[in-house]
Amino acid sequence: MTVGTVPAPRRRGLLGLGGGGWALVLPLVLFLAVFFLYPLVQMARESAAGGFAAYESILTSPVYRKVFGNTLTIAAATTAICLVLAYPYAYVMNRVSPRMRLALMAFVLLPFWASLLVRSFAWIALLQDSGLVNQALQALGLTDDPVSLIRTTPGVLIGMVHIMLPYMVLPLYTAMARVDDRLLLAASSLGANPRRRFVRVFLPLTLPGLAAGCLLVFTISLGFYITPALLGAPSQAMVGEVIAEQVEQFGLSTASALGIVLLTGTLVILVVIALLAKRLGRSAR
Amino acid sequence: MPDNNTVTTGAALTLSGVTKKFGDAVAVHEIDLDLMPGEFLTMLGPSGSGKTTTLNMIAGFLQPDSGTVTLDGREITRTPAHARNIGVVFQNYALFPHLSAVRNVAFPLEMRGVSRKEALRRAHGALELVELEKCADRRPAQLSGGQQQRVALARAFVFEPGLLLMDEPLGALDKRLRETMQLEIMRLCRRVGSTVVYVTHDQEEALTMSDRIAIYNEGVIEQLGTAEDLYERPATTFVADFVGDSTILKGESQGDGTVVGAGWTAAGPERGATPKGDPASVVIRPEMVRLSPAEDAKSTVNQMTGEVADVVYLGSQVKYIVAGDGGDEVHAKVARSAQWSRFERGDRVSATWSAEDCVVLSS
Repeated sequence: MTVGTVPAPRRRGLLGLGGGGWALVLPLVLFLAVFFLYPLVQMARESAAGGFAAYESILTSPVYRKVFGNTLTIAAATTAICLVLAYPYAYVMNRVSPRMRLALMAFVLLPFWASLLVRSFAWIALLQDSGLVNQALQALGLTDDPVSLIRTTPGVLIGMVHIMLPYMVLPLYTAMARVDDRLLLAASSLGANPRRRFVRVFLPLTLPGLAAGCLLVFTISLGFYITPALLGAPSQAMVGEVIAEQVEQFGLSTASALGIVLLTGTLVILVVIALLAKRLGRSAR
Repeated sequence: MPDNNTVTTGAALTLSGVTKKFGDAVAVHEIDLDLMPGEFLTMLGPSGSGKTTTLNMIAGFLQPDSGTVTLDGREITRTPAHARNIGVVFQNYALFPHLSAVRNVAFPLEMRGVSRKEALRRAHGALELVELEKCADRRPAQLSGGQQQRVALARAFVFEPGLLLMDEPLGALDKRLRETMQLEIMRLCRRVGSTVVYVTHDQEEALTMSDRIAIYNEGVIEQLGTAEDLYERPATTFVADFVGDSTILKGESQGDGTVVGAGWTAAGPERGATPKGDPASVVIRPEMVRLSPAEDAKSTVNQMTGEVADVVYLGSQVKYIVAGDGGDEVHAKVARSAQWSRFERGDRVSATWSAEDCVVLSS
């Protein structure tokens, strides 16, 4: 994440890299070059195999436009829901005893310890019409007929939010842990009531973590495949599903073009957000 | 900051019976304090003696378990910190890192509904007063420790609070800068006219700056008085030991202000009568001790004969550590002057002091 992270310490003169120090990055650079950059170039070439026909059909077809629209909407909604759930959670994590904090941390990290596929199938079991959630709703008398949760956008969102929560909670928790409590006391002594203390001091100081969390969740969500494929409605497909479909039908050119468009779009969004953040940071002076 | 240089009137502060416990540990026990408007009071004591806890209860960061805090006749014991209108300067400055110096100073004004434009104008004025106008647009991270301290000061007095609290504000600065800032803080406080409660563990700082000093020890105030009171008339051996350099001789009371120890007899004004036979202490300030060759000794009271054990050169003064023949030690600080007589290590000397220059304390 380039946006919103803490600027690197300025004085690095004494412990700078020695002459051959740069060689330390070589293994990773080589790995990326062979297993990421080369395939990416191959993919770009594949996408342009038939001239720019694949791009033309993607950019003009209303079907694909709808797919991209869905993808952006679902990724944005996932990000927003994660943020709303994670911010107060991370705040509480910072205020409780170390033992309680460990428990809360484990609770968030739980999804990390089970495979994505297993979790998505588990959500099917829970969310289907005869599943646990609907049984509970009916037992509580909240609804007579089962609420269709599976094969709907809310179903996808439930699954994705569950998977993405740790990516939001962890950066927020770290950012909040860095806020010096004395700054909050100072704000109070200067006349800020709890609400203004939050808006004028706590929120701005946790913005870097908030930006990092949102970017992580949003960019990872854009490429989701399994969860929407299992929990979502076919009519609300995301780009990842359409790419998989194309690959299965040997539409490699279209699949590659879709991948390139998604990648480019993501990069554009990142740059725009980075520029906005920079301007925001400047105006805060 | 008063715009037309009018002086704010300081607030009167009263603490009565204030007690704070953390679990079973009593941090502050039944503190009573009465501050006149405009007074500069320093709380002095070792760390953990309860002075910062007292300050936090005045600021509203902590609630006392019992007792009341009254500001200008209004009881504020349960008033939340943001509604107290008290300026606080923290040890680590606690400047908002995301705001420039001038926005930091404007913050309390904006919280009080002053328009952004007017708040910035007054904040610039306050920064001018601490001679930091040229750094107004810098972030705290781009300022030196001393500059950050000035911004913190400006931020604490810009909204003209009747009471300013300072918690070891100079603790992180080097000695020279600390001395400059002491004078600057005194000048500012006098100009602003606020009542000040200042916390420090540096006794020199306390003696320099304060109208009155409260000596804290283990959650209670051992003595409250002017620097002169504390220095010349300490109420307890703790105070005598904590404030300034002193020799404390332990002996047995004769019941009449006379104390007899190992190889010495002292007599002086007594703080509270000590029954005959009880342990008593004699406090002597080293600069009040005169040295002469041992063979010149005339009196037997307020005198100790011994050998110079150490000579410490202090620049304008020389400190002699005299090991008395009875085993007790007395310190003498002698000013170097044109006709002073110098002693060497191992010289036999007689240390004398006058009755009015020592204090006899029980225990």
